[in-house]
Amino acid sequence: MKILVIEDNLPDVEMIRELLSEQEDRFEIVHSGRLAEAIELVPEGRFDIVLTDLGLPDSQGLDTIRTLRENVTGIPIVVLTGLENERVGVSALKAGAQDYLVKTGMTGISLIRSLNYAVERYKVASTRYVLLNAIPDALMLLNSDKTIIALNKAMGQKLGINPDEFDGVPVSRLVANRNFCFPMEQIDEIFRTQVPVNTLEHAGGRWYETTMHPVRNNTGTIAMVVLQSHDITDWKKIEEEIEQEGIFQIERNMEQFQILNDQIRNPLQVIKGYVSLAECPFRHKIDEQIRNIDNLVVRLDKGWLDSEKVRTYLFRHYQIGQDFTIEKEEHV
Amino acid sequence: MSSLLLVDDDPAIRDLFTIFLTREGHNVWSVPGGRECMELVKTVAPDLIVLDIMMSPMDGWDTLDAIRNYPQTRDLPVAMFSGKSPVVEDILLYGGLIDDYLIKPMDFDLMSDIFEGVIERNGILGEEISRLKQNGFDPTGIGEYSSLKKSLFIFRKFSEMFDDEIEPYETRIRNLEERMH
Repeated sequence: MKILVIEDNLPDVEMIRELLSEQEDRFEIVHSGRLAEAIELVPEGRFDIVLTDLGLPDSQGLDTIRTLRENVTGIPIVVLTGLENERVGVSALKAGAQDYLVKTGMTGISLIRSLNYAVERYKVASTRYVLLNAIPDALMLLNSDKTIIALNKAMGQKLGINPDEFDGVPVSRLVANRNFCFPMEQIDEIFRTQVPVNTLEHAGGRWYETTMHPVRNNTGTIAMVVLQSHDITDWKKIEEEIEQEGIFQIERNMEQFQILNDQIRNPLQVIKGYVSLAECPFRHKIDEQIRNIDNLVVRLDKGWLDSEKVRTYLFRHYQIGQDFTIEKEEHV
Repeated sequence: MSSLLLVDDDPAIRDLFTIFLTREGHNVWSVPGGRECMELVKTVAPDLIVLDIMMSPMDGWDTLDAIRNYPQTRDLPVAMFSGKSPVVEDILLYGGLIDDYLIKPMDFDLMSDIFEGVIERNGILGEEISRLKQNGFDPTGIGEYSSLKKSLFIFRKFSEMFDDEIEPYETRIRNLEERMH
């Protein structure tokens, strides 16, 4: 295991070397006394882990971890605290460290255990992180205070924010900072009614089908709500194309009907004329047959009148076939 | 007795039309399309033009446009004569420019009376329009009145198809008439 130790107090560095040299596993230690210098070492170093003090000449307290997290990706961090202060340790975990160790009373075994634990824990967490971001759906997890517990890159992209900046932030701040709608009321409702909610959203020129579902804890009460937004823009497009194709088909059918009706009625007119001209004794019989055929044509006519209603319906409900209706309205 | 001009691409219908309406004493011309129609009206002056709709390359509506844009035929009565039932879009567009819409097949024996009726109706509307002009009513209003009256005639004739269209036209005509008095 290759360790980057960031510590300005040389006796402490020596102590770490000694503690690790007693162990069976082989450890390679690279040491730096300043944070800025340590960060420069990382890209070439192929370190497995960073072991850092919080009080350094160029960085103090939790800022040390925040700076490390911003500049060092893919490597777990273990914090060394000189103080026997649990609170600083816990804050360090929240700021992105994988574990903390109190220097006083540290043993070789406790150090190695912590290092191994941090590496494994980081591996699991980063795999989950990869999984979360590999999902094309936008995901967000909120607790009952409506604090963002987690969100993936796709959600960041959808909301136009950097997902890392809003991890652990109350969602109200997100809404206040940016000018967009967030389904706050619906989330409240899920906590109240325990029923999942589905919505259709149109944001930034794209369509999303958003599901908000409750997540229960061991006792069965709702502890969190998951928001999952599925981008359905492409589906919508296909759907619209199908609808458009449908209306074109209707238009074509109507045209065919009209041509057909005209083509049937013309010969009827001619037959009627010649029968009358010839003073045919069966004129009334033939006229009756002509009427029968004409009645069929009238029924066909009704068929395309219904198509016209379908067209109007499609326009009103789906805004397709506008050309026809706009033209119609212009002349009213 | 009147002069009638039929525009229809079906030669049998042109023949029969000529035979029946000549027999009733009318002076009949018939041509197979819109271009021939516009060519003929340069030399003859019919009392009524009867137009088939489904024709190519110039259909009945195109021909109607040409008729209304040609000074000698601008005010002539025109009756559409088609196997195609009237469509609301067409009537909204052209209803104000036509004097009747006749659906095939119809009795050739009845055509004479029907056409005389169209010519008479057009004459009455023409007289009404002249009176309005004499009374100094504005030309835009007169144009609108004539167009509304013609459209309303078609909508009423096919009231079972155009039920929704009738009332707004009646209201508009009433409003115009109030302005006239």
